[in-house]
Amino acid sequence: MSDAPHLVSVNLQRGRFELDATLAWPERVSVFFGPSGAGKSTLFEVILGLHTARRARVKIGGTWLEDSDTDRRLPTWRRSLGWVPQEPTLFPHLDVEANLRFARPDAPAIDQAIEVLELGAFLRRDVRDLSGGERQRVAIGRALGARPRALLLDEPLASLDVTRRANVLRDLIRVRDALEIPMLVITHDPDEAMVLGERVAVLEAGRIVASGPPAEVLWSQAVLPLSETLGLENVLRGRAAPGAAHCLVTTGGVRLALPFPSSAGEAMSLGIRAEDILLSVDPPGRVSARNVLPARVIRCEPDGDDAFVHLALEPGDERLVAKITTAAVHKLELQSGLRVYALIKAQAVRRLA
Amino acid sequence: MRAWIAGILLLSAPGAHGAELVAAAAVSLREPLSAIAREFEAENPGTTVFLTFGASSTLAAQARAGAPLDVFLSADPSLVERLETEGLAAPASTRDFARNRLVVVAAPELETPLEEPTDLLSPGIRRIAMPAAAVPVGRYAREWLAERELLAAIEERVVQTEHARATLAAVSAGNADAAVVYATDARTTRGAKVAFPVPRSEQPPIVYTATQLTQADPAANAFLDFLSGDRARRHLEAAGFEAP
Amino acid sequence: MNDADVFGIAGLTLWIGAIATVAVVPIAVAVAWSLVRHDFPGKSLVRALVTLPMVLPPVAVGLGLLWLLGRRGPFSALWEATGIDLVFTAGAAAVAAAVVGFPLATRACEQAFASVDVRYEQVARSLGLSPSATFFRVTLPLAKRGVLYGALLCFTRAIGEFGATAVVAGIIPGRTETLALGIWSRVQLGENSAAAVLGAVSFALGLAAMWAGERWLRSDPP
Repeated sequence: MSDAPHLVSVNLQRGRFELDATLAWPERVSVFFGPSGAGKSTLFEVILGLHTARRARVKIGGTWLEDSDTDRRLPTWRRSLGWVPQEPTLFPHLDVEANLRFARPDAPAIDQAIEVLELGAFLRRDVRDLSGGERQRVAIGRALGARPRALLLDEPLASLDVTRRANVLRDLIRVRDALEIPMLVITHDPDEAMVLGERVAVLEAGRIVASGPPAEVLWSQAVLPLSETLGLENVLRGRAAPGAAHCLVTTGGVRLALPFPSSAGEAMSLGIRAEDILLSVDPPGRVSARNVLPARVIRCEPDGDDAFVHLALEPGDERLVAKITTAAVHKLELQSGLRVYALIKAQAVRRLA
Repeated sequence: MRAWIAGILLLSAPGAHGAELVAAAAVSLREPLSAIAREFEAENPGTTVFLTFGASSTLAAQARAGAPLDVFLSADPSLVERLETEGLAAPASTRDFARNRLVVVAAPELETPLEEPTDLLSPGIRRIAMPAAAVPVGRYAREWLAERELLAAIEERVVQTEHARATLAAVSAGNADAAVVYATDARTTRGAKVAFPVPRSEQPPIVYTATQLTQADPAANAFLDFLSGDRARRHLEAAGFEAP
Repeated sequence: MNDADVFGIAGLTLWIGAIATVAVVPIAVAVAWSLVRHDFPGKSLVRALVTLPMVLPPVAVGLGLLWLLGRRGPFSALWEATGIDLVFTAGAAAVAAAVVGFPLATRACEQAFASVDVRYEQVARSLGLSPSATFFRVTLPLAKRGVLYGALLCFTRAIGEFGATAVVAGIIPGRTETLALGIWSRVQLGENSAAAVLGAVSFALGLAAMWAGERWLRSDPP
């Protein structure tokens, strides 16, 4: 287990709350998902060395930062972790540029961060005049300016209104793809977990209840009640199709009609609610749904009156989950391996990033 | 911390290079002693005499607590004696240098007649200013009033003051109707009028004593000699003090 | 009383207030910061001790200082050896002013530090700043207003200090006589017009200090 480059193992008691979590993972980008109060931020604070815990073993990028088993412990300021906590984040007594250059005034990494995050236009601004999204970008830029060994983002989108989320999420994806350092992201939004993560760990009441690839974990029966209440959707990624204004080609090669215009080649993440997907065993005739996607049933998971049908799109093997009634499952005699058609109205497709 | 030390050194460093004397004196000596000190300074260039006036008892308490006084001038020889027995004052330097008398003063607007001691009992005299018994003038006044068997009767009309001059100021300001003060103090103000002097035969002897405190600056001795000299005597007599 | 006396007394008062403030504020900052950000045994005792000069009768504070600084106190050997002889000097007045100003400065600094979100300090440390660098680059700048307000309170309290000063510095014209002492001794002597002049000067100084301070604190955003 400790062969993995990243490892966190914590036991910490704070009043009546106990955080007891152990996780090792090889992926570069991991998401910590769970409801508020689950201990996600506390876990970050332990990784940062802000708490003294009964047990704290932290390894990031192959480097041990703390190991209570051997009594080694780097102080916070020697850990080189780029932390973007929840608000408040920016130093109110400094302007944007002074915030960015806070750690190392002349590091080339800052100029790079300014470029990647497009911060050049408001370097001289007072941080209190920035919008929530701008503040978040500056905070990320400041963290990157210190040349961290890893980036820790705590609810990077939580303080933003819905319209700004898509923009900042796009920035995050750009940062993620431009960097080579490990990223740890906290979110209570399953869509963000789906869009950003290569691995998702689910925390509930101080315990890790599941961990694995996002699409698998978030739709698993153990986690589904939680991720559903927090607004779980199917996420498909891809690029706007060249030549067609309202069309996306997913990474798996499936063409998807969109309810909004797109510019050719633009990268996008789309969300589709499980209950907005209809299933048909026979090829449908003339229907209003713009998207009729051939798929194969992987498994059916009945849950009382409802059932979750896990699908693999053909071609490409991308995963989708449809929520239909258990009665419909029986009527259509759905079972693993059966070929079906997934019908999705263009209107049901939402842009996440 | 460095600022602290620098500040303290700045403040405690002597202003001039010459000797500095601190003379603590009974407040009744204020005017003649100020003149005497200026004259002493003129005669001894480089020497500065700082004067602090107050009730002799208060000044003695400060000396006892460790205040670095050089010369102590009191209206009460017993305070000096006590400093001597405590090893704080040098007995060899101690000398008497003046005497004083008591008078009864009245507030200018007082309508009740105040011509003899028993008039102090009249209901028109509502408040009588007097320092605590520890202060020399307070003790002398009480001794005289007790001698005349008036003290018990007026005790509840006494408003306590800080020292001799504060007593006089209380009467001048009309905060008290009458007071027993030094004759010399009564001369310094037109705000309070002398009602009658306390007969010489009835009052205790009031002797001013000067002494040099141990660890005093060497110039203290010269100042005490100057104080006993003729020029100082002239200033004291001009202010109404009598020879010892 | 001539003009030179008034200027001398006012100048000495301001000088003593300034020295006391400069001496007190760094200590108040250090003490307040430890009280706000650290837990240590005896913390509530320290807090009570800090407040003590504010609740004790000033004369009692003066007597205590007289004992500590005097030739017959516990540190007499130290004063002897270093040649520091503060009692009945302006230095003693500055010490007295500092001691009574200290609780006010510390209280204000405590509030100032308590209002700084720990998050900023944590972020600074995550960005590689040592605890001391964090204090000087984040905590102190963010608490600046409160600290300066504490300095202002300390200064105004210092220039008005009377009871402790009278005991430990005496009332020596030209040496330790500050405005407060001068007013008191002149009132005691019945020199009411001179007392009124000094009273007006202290009124003007106090008002000017508070007004300038308030204005400046309001004009400069945190």
